[in-house]
Amino acid sequence: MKEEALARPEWTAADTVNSYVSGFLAACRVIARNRLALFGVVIVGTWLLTALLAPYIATHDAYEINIANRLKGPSSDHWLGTDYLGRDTFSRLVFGARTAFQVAIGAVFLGAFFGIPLGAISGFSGRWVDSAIMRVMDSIMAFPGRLLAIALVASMGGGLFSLYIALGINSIPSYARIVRGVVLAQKEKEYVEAARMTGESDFNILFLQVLPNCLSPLLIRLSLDFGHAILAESSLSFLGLGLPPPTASWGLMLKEVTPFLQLQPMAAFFPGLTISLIILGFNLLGDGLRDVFDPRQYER
Amino acid sequence: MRKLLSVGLILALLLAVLPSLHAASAQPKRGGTITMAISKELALMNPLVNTSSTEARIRELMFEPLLARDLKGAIQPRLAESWEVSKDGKLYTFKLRKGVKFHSGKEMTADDLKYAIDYTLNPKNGAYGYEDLNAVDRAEATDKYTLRIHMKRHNPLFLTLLTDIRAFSAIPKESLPEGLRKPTTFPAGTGPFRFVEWQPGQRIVFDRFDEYWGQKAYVDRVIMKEIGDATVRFTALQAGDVDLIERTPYEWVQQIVEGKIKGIGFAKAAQAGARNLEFNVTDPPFDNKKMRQAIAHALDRKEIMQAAYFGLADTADQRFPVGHFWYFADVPMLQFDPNKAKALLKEAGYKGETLELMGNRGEVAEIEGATIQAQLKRVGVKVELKIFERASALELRRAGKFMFKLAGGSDYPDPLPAYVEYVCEPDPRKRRLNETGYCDKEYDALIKKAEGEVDPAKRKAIFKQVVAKLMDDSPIVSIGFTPRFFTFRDHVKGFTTNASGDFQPWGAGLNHAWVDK
Amino acid sequence: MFVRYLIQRIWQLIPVLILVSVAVFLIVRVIPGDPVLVMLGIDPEERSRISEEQYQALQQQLGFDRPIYVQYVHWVSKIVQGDLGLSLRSRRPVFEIIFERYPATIYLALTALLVGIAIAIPTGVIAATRQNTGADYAAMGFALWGIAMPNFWLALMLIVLFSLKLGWLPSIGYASPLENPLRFLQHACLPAIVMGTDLAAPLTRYIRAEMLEQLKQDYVRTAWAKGLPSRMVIIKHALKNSLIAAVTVVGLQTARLLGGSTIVETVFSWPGVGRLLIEGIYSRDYPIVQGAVLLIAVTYVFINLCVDVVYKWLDPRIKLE
Repeated sequence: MKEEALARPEWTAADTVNSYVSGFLAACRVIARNRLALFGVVIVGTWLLTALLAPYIATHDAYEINIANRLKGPSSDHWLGTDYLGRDTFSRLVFGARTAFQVAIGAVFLGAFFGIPLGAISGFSGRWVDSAIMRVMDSIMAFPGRLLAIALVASMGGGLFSLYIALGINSIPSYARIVRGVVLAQKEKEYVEAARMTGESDFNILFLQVLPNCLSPLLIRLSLDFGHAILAESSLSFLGLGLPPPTASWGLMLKEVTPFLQLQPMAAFFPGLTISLIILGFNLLGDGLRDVFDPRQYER
Repeated sequence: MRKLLSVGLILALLLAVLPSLHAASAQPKRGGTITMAISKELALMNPLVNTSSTEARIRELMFEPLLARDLKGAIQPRLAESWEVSKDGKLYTFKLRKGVKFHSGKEMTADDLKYAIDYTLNPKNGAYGYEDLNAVDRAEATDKYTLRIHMKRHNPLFLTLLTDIRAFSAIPKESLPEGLRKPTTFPAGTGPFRFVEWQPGQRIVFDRFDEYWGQKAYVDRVIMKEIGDATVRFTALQAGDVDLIERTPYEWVQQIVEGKIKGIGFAKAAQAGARNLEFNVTDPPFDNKKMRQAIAHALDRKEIMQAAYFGLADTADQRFPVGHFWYFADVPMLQFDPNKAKALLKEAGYKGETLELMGNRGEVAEIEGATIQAQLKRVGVKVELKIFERASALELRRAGKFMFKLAGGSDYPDPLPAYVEYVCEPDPRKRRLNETGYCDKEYDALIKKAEGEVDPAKRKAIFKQVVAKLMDDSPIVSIGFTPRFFTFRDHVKGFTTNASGDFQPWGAGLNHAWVDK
Repeated sequence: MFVRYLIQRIWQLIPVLILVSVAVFLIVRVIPGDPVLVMLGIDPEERSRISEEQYQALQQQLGFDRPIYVQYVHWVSKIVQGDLGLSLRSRRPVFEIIFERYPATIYLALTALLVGIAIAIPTGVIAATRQNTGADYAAMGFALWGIAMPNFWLALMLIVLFSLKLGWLPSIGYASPLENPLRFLQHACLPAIVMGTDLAAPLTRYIRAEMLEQLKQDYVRTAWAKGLPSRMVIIKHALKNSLIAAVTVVGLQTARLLGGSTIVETVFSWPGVGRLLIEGIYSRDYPIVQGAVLLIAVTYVFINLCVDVVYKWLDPRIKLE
């Protein structure tokens, strides 16, 4: 059905937008019917709101230390206890959501921004351009991402920007491969030939007609990637390679209390639970999207 | 009442018996093995090249410097029995101890020491003592037991430097490869233990050297194991996998002190290092003295030490601890006073700019930094913490690229090495410890005067002025001292350490420890 | 046909390895921090005490004063002769150091692989054969959580439970399985569970999905109709074909495991290549970092190649059935 629509030679940018919008709405409807996916949306949405409204939700100043009150268990004043500097764990988790989303949005954007065009060019041009790009992608995948992360963090003294790049670069290949795959499949189709005949430029064919077909696998990828980015950020921070202290970052919170595990195991319990929960949310959402877009699963 | 009395009686009896029990068990026994966990892996079997502080610990078992320092800081004979210094301070003549054996069985002579000095002085070898010996022109062995050192210039600290194993230690002539080639085994030393084997990543083994010239060690064998993670190190001690560990995490020491952990004792090196806040005085905003003083007044040292060391560390406002001979109680410190800090900030024209505080990753600097950041926030100063891992920090510091930073310092036997570091050196690449760029003519003149002075009373008067000057200009602010804790299982006896935590003959260490099992 | 495919795939590896080697060579040199400073400038207080003469003498001996392309060509020409250079820190051959550490990573990876497969196959099969029952939901819940849970957190929680609270297992340490198999198992237990869960969670889902797919196929229905016992049918046919499909997933995971998990090795103080790499970066030990990255990259591409080849080799049989 979609193909017929696309085959019209007078296809315009507005139509592309329309197809995106209607596709999105259809997706929403299916997700609303899938209970697990809805659960994912709720989790992700809750954390997103928490991140946006962090100062209003936090019960304490996430950065105010209180040495006399360090490593305490949950209490009525500190709902989830305090960390090794006596800071309120709950408030730091709330502000940690901000950090997590900031990093994830930046990293995912960067990966998609470079990965999608590279994949499209690779698939569309074929031959040596294709193999050159794909070999670069292979190299990125074979290269230990940790080194890159350390290199960037070391040279910039940590901070959001270095994490964007470190995490972003690592996800470029996955976007490039998805888009390349779809482009390769669509390239031979009739509507592309038809557009060529009408003298449409390669650029327009590629970005206005072929790329919309990548939408579904890309959305799935994006959702999963958000989860990956949050996990990667916390892993790097846990290794001490992410954001510098005293940033409220979930991974860093875990790292900071690790030496005190035997004294106060609770301090390590909640940050980990939070990370698990949000990644679960993104994965459920991703699964839901797969149900929407993957006809094989959809029919089942 | 009667009950109380009887309890009192029993207690009294116990107290009477205890000292004799103690005396009975305090008789050192020979034999046994001590397994010690160290924090960093050994890298190189070259005693003259240093790669980490733990290696000094290993070297102190096997190797010895020329001289020693007793607990009061006075210079004592070690491999040299006596020495003479020429009037102009340009010729040192050392009479060496006779009959000192290397582990290889060969007798130590002046030629061996000359070799070690020559090796250290060759820049190609990258020896650690190169800087310590930079005033040395050449060494000469005039006979088998006489070593002469000719100096390029007088260095009032020279004898003190020679008490440090890091300057150089005695090794047999031609026992090391030149340049960066690696030695395949340790050269022989003269110390109380001899090297047996090293299984990289697993263990290093030493046996007692029975022909040691001094007091022989008690234990037959010392095994060193590398356990990098501090918590893990302590867990291994608790589990009985090792008998002794260095650098015990402070929270665990606190548990031992509180009596929550039984069967484990500790030895404290109270001043294993100093913690300071250092300002880059050559660039804004800290080229302004008032800014530096404002920060100093905003610091609550007690809280910082409590956060980082669980209350096990002493605070400091001078380079020497309170009560030390070289601590000047009559030089007023910059007290914790938030209002004064605010007033000074205003005078200095601070308008809420973000200040960058640099620290090293993976050390207490992260905790101290977070604490200082929170404290400065209370007086309205915005601080961004810049945590770099060591290699990057080293380079930035050497280039003078920082605003202010947390840094460590050594302990010193004498105020001269402690304060001489702050004399003017415009080229950051040539600075040693004065990375602040502090440069003051008056200060330099005071140090010059101190260098030429030998009379103790006059020295004290000069150094009081030095300390007061440094306090007022505040290129660096002392915060406290880093304590280090050795913890050991109860069957390890006689292990003590000195304030700086090394294994010098007067600071005790493993050659005085014995096993009671 | 098959041989041509193989040659083509191997041919493709060459540019990848060249790119990786150039990238690592440049990256270690771009990171601030001068290896010569690190070699010289360390004393207990982390202060610099470096004289210019020593600095230059060492730079020259190590060849860091030469143009970077000269250094690269020199390095590559040595690799071709099987020489990865000397570690800056310990002056020992990099090759020797890496192969001291690599066995630990391999043993752990294989143990984790076994754990992962041992969990994933039964769980996946049960979930698929009892679709939409409690068992299925439990299995899928495990899989979802396993994917979402950060492995370092799982590691910490396992340490808290089994080492600190119960005292059953050592929290850290390492013993070679060749010398002391029992102690190896004790030490490898927790890290293998952590890495095994990482592997098992996605694999369970994959096997379940594939099994469901297979169970709908005609051949299963036919076998069913012939009256073969259902268990036989499931295991012999459906599972076999599902497993062939799972080769890719397992292969990719193995490639990742063999690169050494920095996190797991750090948490459990496991002396593998993952930690070697991190330590090398911290001490700016260029030859170690370059050697380790190259090893990890070669392992990765090699396993990928194997997976693809094996899959290609298995693939036609699937289509024939």
